[in-house]
Amino acid sequence: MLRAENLYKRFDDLAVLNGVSLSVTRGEVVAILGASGGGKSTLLRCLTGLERVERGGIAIGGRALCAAGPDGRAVYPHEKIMRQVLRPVGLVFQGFNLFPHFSVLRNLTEAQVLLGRPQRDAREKALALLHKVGLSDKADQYPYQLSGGQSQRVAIARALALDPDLLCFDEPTSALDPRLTQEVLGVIRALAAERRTMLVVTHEVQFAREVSDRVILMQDGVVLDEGTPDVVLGKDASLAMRSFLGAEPQ
Amino acid sequence: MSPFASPAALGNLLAQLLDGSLTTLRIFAWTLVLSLPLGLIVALGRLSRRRWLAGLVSFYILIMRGTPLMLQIITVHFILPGIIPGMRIDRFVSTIVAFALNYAAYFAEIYRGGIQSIPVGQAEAARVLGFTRAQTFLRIILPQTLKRILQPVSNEVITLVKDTSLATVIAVGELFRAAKNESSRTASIEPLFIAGVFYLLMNLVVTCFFHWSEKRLSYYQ
Repeated sequence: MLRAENLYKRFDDLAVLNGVSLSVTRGEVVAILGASGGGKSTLLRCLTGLERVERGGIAIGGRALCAAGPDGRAVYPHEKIMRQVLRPVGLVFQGFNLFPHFSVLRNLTEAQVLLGRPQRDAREKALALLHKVGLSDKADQYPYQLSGGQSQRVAIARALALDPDLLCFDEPTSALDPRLTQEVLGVIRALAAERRTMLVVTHEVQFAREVSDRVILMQDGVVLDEGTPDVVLGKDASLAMRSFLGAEPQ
Repeated sequence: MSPFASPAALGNLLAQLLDGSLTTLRIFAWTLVLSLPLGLIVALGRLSRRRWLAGLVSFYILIMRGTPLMLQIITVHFILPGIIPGMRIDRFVSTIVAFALNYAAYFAEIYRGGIQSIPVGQAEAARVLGFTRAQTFLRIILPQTLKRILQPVSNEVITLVKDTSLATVIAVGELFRAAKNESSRTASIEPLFIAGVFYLLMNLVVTCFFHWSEKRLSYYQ
């Protein structure tokens, strides 16, 4: 579904990605763990086209979002091609980024309509998704009337409205207090149970252990550890993982 | 001879002032119709990633905001016929051109501030949902900008009502000129005060309009 090879990215003098490779197969849930500043979010932003890598290649569903040229530099296609390649990818942000001037319903329908779905179908789909995340009664409200947890559930529904083949989460609960965190994790759990392909950047180790098929530990722009949660987070966890887990409140 | 001396004198004064007000309103309306959209184009130029374009637009804004509008009106009035051959010197057209160019610069800076105040996450969210750049701007950024710029724009529009009096410098017969003429003719100051009331009434309408707009946009935060 997703294949990224040898990604390099720097912001001015700071090297954020130092040769990261990653792949996600269909139906797999992959969790990316790591201390803040380790490059997790930047990786996700590069994979979803919000940032461009300097070197390396990214392919989504077999189509190139960018490809390494002869000199290793990443070559990106035209904006329009990128949009097509990224079409099957959804992203849920840490800060929700709902559109404040649209009702909850319209937050879910707008992109569908722009992609050519009839208004009625878009509306039906939106209402079904709101039902799914338990917010049917909020359809006509505006984002400022929602709690953080509700906002994030709407944001998840908004991403689902475009039927993504790959759904990415960028620390979806980091802006929420513990109680609201659980309601959002509940929704993601339900999606994992449907065998949706997901890539989740998170600080919730317990959650990663529970829902993911594979865990990746990132630090200083490289992948330090990778494997099934049983192995990577188990008794024989690597030194790097132990030190990360030790620092992270469980 | 006070304009209040007889009903006929007062009637004459009000007729003169109303006639001037009509011209004032025409300057006002034409300036807004032209400068509000032009300002958006200027703002986009100012925000352009093309350095030369952003620089050129910055220079334009500097000139427009940095020199007196009165001087700009005079300049346009004497230069315009030279640039466009065969064009007759039309005081009203010169005034509108100068006002539109001047106000576009102010509106552009207000738009720019508004656009830049929208969190970058809004454009990112739109982008991952497959919006094109144009769709993102027109459907996500611009509507939210509108709400944020309403107050600074109302300031400019109120100033514009009063600035129309600057057109008197090239002898456009707007409200202030009419009042000054009547004041000289009758050797009294009342016509000027009455003109002041006229401006005040116009701005009352402007103020009400913006209050109404603000209410209409208060359905979200």
